[in-house]
Amino acid sequence: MKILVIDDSMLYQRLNVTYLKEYFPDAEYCVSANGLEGYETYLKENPDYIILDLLMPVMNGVEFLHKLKENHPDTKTKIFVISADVQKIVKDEILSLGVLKFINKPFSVEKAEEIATIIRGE
Amino acid sequence: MLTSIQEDALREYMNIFIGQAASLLSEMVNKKIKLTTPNILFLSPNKDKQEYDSLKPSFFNSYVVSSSINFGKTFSGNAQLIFPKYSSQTLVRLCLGENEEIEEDGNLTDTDFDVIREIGNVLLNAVLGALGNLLNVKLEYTLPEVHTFFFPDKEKDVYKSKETYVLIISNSFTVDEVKVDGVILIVLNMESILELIKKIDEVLVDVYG
Repeated sequence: MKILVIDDSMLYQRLNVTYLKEYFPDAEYCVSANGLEGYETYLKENPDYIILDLLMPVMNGVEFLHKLKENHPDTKTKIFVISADVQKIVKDEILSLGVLKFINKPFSVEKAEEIATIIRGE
Repeated sequence: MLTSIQEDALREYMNIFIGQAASLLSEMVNKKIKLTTPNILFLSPNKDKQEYDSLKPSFFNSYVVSSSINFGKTFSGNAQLIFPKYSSQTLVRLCLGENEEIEEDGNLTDTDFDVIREIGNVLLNAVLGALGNLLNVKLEYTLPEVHTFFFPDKEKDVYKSKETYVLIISNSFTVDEVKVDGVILIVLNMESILELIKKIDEVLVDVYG
């Protein structure tokens, strides 16, 4: 299994990988610092799952989601959004773009477990 | 600017939002946080200068670290999470689970900036997002920026025009017996203030009839 983490925060890149490794120690992890870099990594690595932040420079998470949907409507890659944004309007918009789950920051071992449960259930 | 009932309602909402923000901070540092009741100031620092000067947090006369974002379209402004420099470094150590002592005049590292940016991101989103939910408007944010500076040197820039009103939510909290002071400062223009007051009045009508 391959998991791509797209977040401009080095802290969150590290946190996401560390916590997810508790549940998927044998998965392959890669990180990108913004949506554009993330899209290029997606093309190269074809990850099974993406952990996506929303507020990022160059290309934000929403722009990334639209680009993915437009260019790869049949992609098998599933996406979890992890964001500090607590607005209900934003959450509804993101879920309507087909992400598996919208999770609020701060990220934690418990939230990684939530993700793990969903992935194992697939 | 506000009646006492409006101020009371605003204070109550901010208490709730700060409580939620503190809960998120507790998750980030993985420790229990003891909160005091936040002090809330809502005024124009330019028009109400005497009141502002007597009530503003004491560490506004020192070096601070600020994580700030601009927000909004219809409801717009600037929000900053401000800590005394030493406190910001304490928080970073707590977030990373590190025990090393902090140098008093030490510079912030790239990691410090990154962690502070993320703390600001989470806490400011908690308060602003909750405001957005209350007002039923979608707020769009700029990327958070972190700066360290001597606050008195930049104070005028923070408050910009004479029409600016500022909501200052200042709070002390204790983590592991270490006291940390912090302030969330939300700078609003007149249009946004009126939007906020309108919503508070709607809530008050529901409650008081």
